[in-house]
Amino acid sequence: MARTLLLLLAGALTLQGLLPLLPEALAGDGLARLVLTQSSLPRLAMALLAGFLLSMAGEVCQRIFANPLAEPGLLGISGGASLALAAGLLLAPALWQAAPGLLALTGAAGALILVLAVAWGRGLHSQALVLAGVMVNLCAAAAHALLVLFNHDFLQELLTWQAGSLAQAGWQSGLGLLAQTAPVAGALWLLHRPLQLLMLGEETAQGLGLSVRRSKLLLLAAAAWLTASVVATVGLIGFVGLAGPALARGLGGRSGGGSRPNLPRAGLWGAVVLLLADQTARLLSGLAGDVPVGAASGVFIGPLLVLLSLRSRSPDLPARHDPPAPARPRRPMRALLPLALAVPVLLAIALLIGRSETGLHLTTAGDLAAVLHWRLPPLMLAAGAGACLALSGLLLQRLLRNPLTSPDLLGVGHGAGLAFALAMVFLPESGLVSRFALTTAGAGAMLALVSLLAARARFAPSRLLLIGVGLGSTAQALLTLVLAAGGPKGAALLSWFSGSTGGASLPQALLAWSVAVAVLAAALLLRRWFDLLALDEVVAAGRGLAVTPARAAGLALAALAAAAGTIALGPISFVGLIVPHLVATMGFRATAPAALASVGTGALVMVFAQWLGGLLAWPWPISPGLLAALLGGPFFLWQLRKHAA
Amino acid sequence: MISRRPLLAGLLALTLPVPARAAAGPRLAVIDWAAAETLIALDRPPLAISDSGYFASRMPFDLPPGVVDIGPFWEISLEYLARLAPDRIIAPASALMMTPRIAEIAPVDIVPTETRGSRLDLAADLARQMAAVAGLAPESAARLVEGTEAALAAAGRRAGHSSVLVCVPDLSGRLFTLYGRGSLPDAVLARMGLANAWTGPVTALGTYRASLEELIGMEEATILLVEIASMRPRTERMLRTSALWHAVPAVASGRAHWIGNFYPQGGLLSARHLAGTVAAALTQG
Repeated sequence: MARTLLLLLAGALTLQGLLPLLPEALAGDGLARLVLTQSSLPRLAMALLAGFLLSMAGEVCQRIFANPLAEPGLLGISGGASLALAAGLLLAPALWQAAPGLLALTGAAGALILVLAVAWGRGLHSQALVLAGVMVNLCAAAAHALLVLFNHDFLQELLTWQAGSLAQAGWQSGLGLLAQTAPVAGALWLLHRPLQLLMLGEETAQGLGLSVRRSKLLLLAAAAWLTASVVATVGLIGFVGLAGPALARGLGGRSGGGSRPNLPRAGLWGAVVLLLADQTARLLSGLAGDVPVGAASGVFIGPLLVLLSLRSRSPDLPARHDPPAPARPRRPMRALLPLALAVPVLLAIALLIGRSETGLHLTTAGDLAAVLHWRLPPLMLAAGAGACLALSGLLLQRLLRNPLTSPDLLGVGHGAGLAFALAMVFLPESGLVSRFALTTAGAGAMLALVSLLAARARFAPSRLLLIGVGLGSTAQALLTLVLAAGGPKGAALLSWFSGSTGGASLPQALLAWSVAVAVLAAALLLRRWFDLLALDEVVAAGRGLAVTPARAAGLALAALAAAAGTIALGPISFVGLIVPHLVATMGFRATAPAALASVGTGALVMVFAQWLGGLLAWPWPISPGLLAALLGGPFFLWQLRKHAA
Repeated sequence: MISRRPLLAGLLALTLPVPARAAAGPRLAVIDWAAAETLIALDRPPLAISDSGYFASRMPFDLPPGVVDIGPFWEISLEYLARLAPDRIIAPASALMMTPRIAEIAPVDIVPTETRGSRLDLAADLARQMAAVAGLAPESAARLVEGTEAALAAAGRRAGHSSVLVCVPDLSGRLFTLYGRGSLPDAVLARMGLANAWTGPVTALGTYRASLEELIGMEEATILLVEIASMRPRTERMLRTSALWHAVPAVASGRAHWIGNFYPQGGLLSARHLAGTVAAALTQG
């Protein structure tokens, strides 16, 4: 039903675009014919082709990882491609001029190779692959943001290009893309059977004589090739890789299509989705200038995923249990002591060593007052926000039992960012009173919406994930649109989005810290609930736990911490995503020590990043959010590699 | 790790007045390039500006020596600025939101950055405001405004009368950022006696992103493509092979020219520079 509607809508919009041109073109009007054959038709073809390819790549990834949220972007492929293109444009324009496609493919290949290298052990274990992919993505995004911020002269070009417009002037780029991808798409179709075997679980597939590692490698390389080719041709178009396969499986939760991979079917639905999105973007263009479909498609697909989570009885792919990670020795509580001491020590170092015109500068008794006055608030704010986000991430990962969950999922960051961005672009400058008030309002509104939807889904983890990603994609898309129209203000927005501390004051830092302490206290009190929920809800219910209220309480705590962290620092996801993993590798497993260790580690990471970010490019700040991702990312990858081997 | 002597020397240098010509007038820190440009035009170069590197590369004139960089406009280095101890800070309202604590360092003069009217009027207002802040007589601002208007009128006489489209082609040669109502090029063209070929909808910045087919309808316009150096060869290559591009009337009759980059949020100096560029492009063809 919903699918028929989508089809009809896409068809109607396409006709609406073509009809005014057709009679004139057929009557022999040269200009109308030119527009029809060189602009309208190539654009339709490009939408269909790009949608088909992205969705097919998405289906491959979702099947390999048995995760409905997996798409090639998840493996760092689009992040790597777009980073390589941006870096090429700025650092090696001659190379960029000659072969942008080659650059994009190199970037995508680099990212994929890195991810594969990290997850090489144990037959390319899915969880390690996805974790490595998310990490590489975060690093690439941080590096990209840094490039854009330090070259904001090119900001507009980089951002608008990245927003993915399908406007065409001729057939060359479409034909080029087709030639580049057709052989690979064909090969993927031939690899249909290994994909089907892989879905039975890695051990079963191995038992049936399939080389799991080689098959995964081939499949992923093919998906990467398709994605990178599209990115190099038209820019970043996210979410089609999610929505196409989801539509192909059926919105109504019919299980029939769910069990077997069907690449052409997924591809076709992806083509329909992108066509619909692009035709809508074309309609909107008449009002405000070209609307990049990469952004517009996100606006669409958000509600689609939310719908999917509410309507469907089982939106997930068939469940499959991956073997648990090898247990590491438990660490006793007193191992927390060095961590607790490290925070004040690092703070003292950061206050002692700064930079001035002449190089590094040791704080003297004379300038101590000034240093405390200016340097302490951002340091304290970064630490407090780090503690909040780490704690929020830990609680979420426990409650939803998904290692890829980060506080972004609650929509807090997107809501805050959206309110801020809209105010920056649409309010007159005099109306911009307080960033704090704006972000608080945005975070609150989005949190209310998420809670409402989550309550309807009875706080079930898989549905919460879909809701979070859906709302996030919509907010992200609106943001891209706002940024592309924002001019120089775009840089200010981008800086906030990467977690800047320029507006820090001591009261704000104290606010973040008091929320961190309050949430920590509550988590310690309720530790038994969270320990049980992290295991299994059947077990938890069997031990007399009221699962839904407990989960709601946990989510409320996580949301509070995420809101405090985001409002203080910006919607950075690195700390919330990674610190819980780091804490686990340190050996803190039960909720109580893990929560304490998360607060300490989150604060420590952010203090270090804030300090170093103030030194590196002085007087230009590197926001602690970006630096934490750039430095912490490789460290985390190395950790992951050690455990995967 | 750090030798104390250069450090002390550096600190000492800080306490001395900034060299060059800053002897007269208040020491100003500027977080807005249009304001900085205007102060330089008034011969009162600021003590410090945000992102001096960008300023130096984008503006059609050299940055006076001795002007220091205090970081990007969205997050200037507060600690450094406090050490420089300017008499006043000149900033747009958004700087007060991004870095509210600048108000603790010195009194902040808010400069306007948006207008519903002509950007040239905004630039003239800015000139008067900057003259007042720098402690100059109102006549110096009036001289700058009159000088600019005379230069624009002279450039207009050289350029003749026609309809002009100023636009930035994107990397792919498929999309164009057009300057319309409320933008600096629109105001400059009007003052030169030229018609802006784009009168359609615009964003808050006075721009509109058009696809190539929208240029085909412009029968009379001369198209001026703004050059972004590292991208031009590729854009040119894409345009050369595009049948649509060759169907644009201006291209078909040789009325499409490249012009140098300019700062679209700039003040009177930027306007004068742009007028000269436009006139040169229109007379060359």
